[in-house]
Amino acid sequence: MTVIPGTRLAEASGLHKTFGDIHAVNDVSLHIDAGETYGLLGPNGAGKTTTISILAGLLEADEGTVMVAGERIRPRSTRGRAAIGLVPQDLAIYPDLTAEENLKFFAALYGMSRRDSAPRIAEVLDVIGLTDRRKDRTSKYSGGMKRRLNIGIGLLHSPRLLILDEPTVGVDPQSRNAILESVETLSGEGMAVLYTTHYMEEAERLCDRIGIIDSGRVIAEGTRAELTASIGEQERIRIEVTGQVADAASRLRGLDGVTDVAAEDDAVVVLADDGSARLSAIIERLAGAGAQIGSIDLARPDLEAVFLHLTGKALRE
Amino acid sequence: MSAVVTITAKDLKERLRDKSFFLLGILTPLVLAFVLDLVMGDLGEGQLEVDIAVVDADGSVVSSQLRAGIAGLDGEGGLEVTVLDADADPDAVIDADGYDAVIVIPDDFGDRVTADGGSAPELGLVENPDRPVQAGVAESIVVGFTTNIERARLLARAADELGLDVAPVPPATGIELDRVWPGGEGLDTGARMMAGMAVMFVFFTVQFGVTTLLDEKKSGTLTRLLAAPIRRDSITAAKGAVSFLLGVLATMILMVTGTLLMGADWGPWLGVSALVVSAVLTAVALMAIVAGIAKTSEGASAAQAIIAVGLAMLGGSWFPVSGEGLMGLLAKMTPHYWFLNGLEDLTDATTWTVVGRPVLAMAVIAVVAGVPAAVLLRRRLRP
Repeated sequence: MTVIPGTRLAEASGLHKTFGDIHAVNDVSLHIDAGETYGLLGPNGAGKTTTISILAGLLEADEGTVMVAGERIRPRSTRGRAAIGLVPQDLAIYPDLTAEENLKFFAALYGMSRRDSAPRIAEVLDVIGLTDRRKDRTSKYSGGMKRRLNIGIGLLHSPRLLILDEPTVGVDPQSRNAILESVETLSGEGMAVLYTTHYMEEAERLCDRIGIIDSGRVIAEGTRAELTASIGEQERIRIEVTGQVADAASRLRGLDGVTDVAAEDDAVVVLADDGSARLSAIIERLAGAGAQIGSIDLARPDLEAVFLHLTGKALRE
Repeated sequence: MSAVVTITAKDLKERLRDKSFFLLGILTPLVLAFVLDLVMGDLGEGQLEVDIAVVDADGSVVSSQLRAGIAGLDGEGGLEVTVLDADADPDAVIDADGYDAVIVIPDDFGDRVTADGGSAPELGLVENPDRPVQAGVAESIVVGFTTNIERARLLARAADELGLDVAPVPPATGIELDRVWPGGEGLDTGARMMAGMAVMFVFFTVQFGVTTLLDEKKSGTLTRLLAAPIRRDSITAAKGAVSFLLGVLATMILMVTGTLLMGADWGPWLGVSALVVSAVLTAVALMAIVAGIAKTSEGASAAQAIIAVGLAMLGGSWFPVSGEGLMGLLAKMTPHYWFLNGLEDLTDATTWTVVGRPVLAMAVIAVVAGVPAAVLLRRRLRP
């Protein structure tokens, strides 16, 4: 595969998709270049999976077009599909087959000859660390091993665009780190990667550019630096509280210097100009509301702060 | 085409590793056929044996002729006839000796038949409730005799009125014992049970193909198949092919086993193969409709089980059904009826082409069910 970094590989323009009354994807446009990792960051239900389903040719958009490697991607057409590797959020592997049999099956489905697929399967098994267990049925694998095989199948046919839909959900820290390292390696080799997540730290680590999606719309897009710069020098303060969290959060709204407030299950997240200076006033207001304060975490501007600033919601709400 | 072959090969590998195919597709129908045959008839002997007794409570000349006529059937067509004392209690002898039925010649039988202006002859029949099929044979014998006696009586009276001299009609004339199994002519009990179970269980076996579409959706692998550079129709085609191949494999194993273990003589194997292929195609089409409607594989399996058993009962897999009346019409809408009748015809035939009509009937059912099934399954091809 010859890849020229910077070449426009995938482009989605004006995508719309509705399910009944729900506008799941609302005028989404994005592009990804070769060698670039694009992160689609948003909470559950924001429209990430629907967007990538359209990009992968699984769903027909009501409006808009998707081009990958110069081919129009549509569900009823097989054109351009071989350029895409999909790693679905759910574990999409066959439990009664071994890892090697799973890989052989998908290699055949992607039109790879036995001669070409044999060394490639060995290579992928090595990358995902399953060479020693390749003859075992996957029903006997741990959750992390299954996740790695799930990714391996997506990589098998050397796609030019790899789409990973929340690949680290439910994965132990060790396997998660291995997955993130694999994505970094692939991107370094020139593969375009579309990575959806609701974990801010993953997006910050992996992605060259990030699109923040909420309620079906891409509400901001840029590099991490560009996005954080857009909210100025605001700091994010996360205060663990017990008691009426929503009530405590509402008491902070309108406080001088506080631009956004969101309530999580057991914490209040505040975005404030010069947060360090406002901290005592915030604590005083919470104590006045009868909230028991636990730990306090004050952070420089990050993607979570950007998301809070743009939507008024915490990323994990 | 290669995608169809690839998916089919993968599915077959999974199914053959999964013991449930052998358990449900082969072992269960085999065991059931043996058990039912032991309960209902004479395994492997090739003929239904009926053990009946006769009680002549009349003792007249006419009744003794009739008794002799019935006793004369002993040894014919699997019949065993025992003449009991005139005062024997039918219920007691059935309980004690296990007769399938007791024919009772009532004490006024002779008078009623010979009296001037006498009435139609009547015979009593006490059936063994545990042997309904054999009792049914005894009943047909009674009906045959009474019909002949009534015919002779009417003939004699007409001749008398006309002043003609007519020779008496022997009471056994016209009694036929060839068709002892009302659903068919050629298959013995064991063979029929095996064929009935085979065609019933093929409806369970084909589930291992079409219903896996719902399993793939649940497990997420359907998403991967839909993302691959293959035509979407290849996926449904492969599922149908898996159902068909597993169905044919299981049914042919059962038919061959029937020959080897029960001595079943199905007739020309080309005809058997044509019937099996047609029945399996029909089963695939009908079960695919269910898979296309159901939301989960569990729901589909439950519905398919109900349909499989219901159609089997209607079509004669468990008990022979008549082709007459409303039930006959309903039976003819099932592949089971045509499959079993095709085998009956084939057993006595010299050429396999006698299965043409059953095969055509099943092909019609397969097409009528297959078209909506294909449409419904296509709608399932969503991530």
